[in-house]
Amino acid sequence: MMTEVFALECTARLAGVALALQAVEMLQLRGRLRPDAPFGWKRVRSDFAGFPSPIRAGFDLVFQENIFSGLLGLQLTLAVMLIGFPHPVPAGLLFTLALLGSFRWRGAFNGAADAMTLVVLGPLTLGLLRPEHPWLPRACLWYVAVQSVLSYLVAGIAKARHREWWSGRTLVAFLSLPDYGAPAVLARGVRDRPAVARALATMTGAFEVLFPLALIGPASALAFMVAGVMFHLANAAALGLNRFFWIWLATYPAIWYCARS
Amino acid sequence: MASPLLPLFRSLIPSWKLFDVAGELPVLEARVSLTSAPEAPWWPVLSVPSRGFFSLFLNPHGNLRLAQLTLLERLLDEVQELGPDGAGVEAGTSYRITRALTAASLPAGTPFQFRLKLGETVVLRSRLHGPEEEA
Repeated sequence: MMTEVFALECTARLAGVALALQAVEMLQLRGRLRPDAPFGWKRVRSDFAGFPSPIRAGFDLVFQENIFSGLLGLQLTLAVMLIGFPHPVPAGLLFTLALLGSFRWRGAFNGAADAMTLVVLGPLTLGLLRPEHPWLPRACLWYVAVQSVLSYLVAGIAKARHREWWSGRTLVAFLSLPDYGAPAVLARGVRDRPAVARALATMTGAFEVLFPLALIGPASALAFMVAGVMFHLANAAALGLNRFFWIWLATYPAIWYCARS
Repeated sequence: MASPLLPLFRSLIPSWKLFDVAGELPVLEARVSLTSAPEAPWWPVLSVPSRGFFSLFLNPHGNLRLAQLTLLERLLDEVQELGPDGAGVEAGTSYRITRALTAASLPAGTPFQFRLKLGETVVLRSRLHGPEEEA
C-alpha cells in the first residue's frame, strides 16, 4: 500500500526536478531581466500601480536584476534540496518564489505550467507540514490529483466539442503554425496523411476526455499515466512545451495514490 | 470590464483552458520607416528558436517565445476591449513591452512602426516610433 507520506515524498522529488530545470532556464535568460530589456521591471512595474505602496516597494526591491537573479539561484538550491530531502520548508519557499516569479512575468511566464507548479507546491507544503494529520495529507494529494485530471478533461472537452478537431484539420493547422516551431517533417507528415492526422486527433481527444478514469483503479491509472508521459513527450517535441512534461509528471504520484485508495 | 489586476493572479486561479480551437495566434510585424520608401515591407519581429533533444530538459528561448506570445494575446485582448481604434492602448504595459521588443529587434535608433495581426486582419497598427522615444 502506498502511504500518503510516500506519495508526498515522490511528488516532492519530481516537483524538485521541475523547479530546478525552471530555475536553470530562467538563469539562462537573466539578460532579459535587465531594466532596459523589453520585459525589464521598469516597464512591468506599471501593472502593479493598483497595489498598496508597501507591496510595490517590496517588488521594486526583489525584482532588481541582481536580487532576482540571486532568488533564481536560491530556487535552484531549494529545488535540489527538495529532491534529496522532501521537507515543507524548501517546498514552502519554492511556492513563494514561484508566486513571485509569476508576478515578475505579469501573471505567468509559462501559463498553465506556472499554474500547475503552484497547484503542486501549495498542497505539498501543507501535506509535508502535517504528515501525521488524520486527513490533511490525503486531502492534499486528492487536490493535486483532481486538478491534474481536470486539466486534461477541460482541454479534452474543448476539443471534443468541435467537429473540426475530430477531422484532424485543426491538428494540422496547429502544427503548421510557425509560432510553436513544430518540426517541418511532422507538420508535413500530418498534412500529407489526413488519416494519420485524424487518428492522432482522435487519440488525443479521447485520452484527455477519458483521463478521469485514471482514478478508478491502479491498472487504469498506470495505463493513463503511461499514455500521459507519451502525450507530454510528444508535446515537448512538437510544440516545445517541456515545462508541462516535468510539472505534470509531478502530479502522477498523487493520481497513483488516489487510484489505489 | 474585468479587473486589470486579474491577469496578475492567473497562476493562482488555474482555468486549464489549454486549447483554443479557433487556433489563430497574433503575429507581430514591423517595418523600418525610411522617408524615401514610406511603404517599406513588413516582416515578423519574433523568431522561433530551434529545438533539439535537450530542449526536453532546458528550453529557455522556446519558453521565452511562449511568454512573448502570451504578451501579444494580452495586447490583442486590450485592443479588443478598448475598441477598434485602440485608444488608450499605447499607455498600457503590453503596448510598451511590445514596442520595446520591436525596437530591440532593430539597430539602435531606427524609426519603426509595428502592427499586430490576427490571421489576415490587422488589429493594431502603431504610429511611427522615433529613436528619441523611450518605451
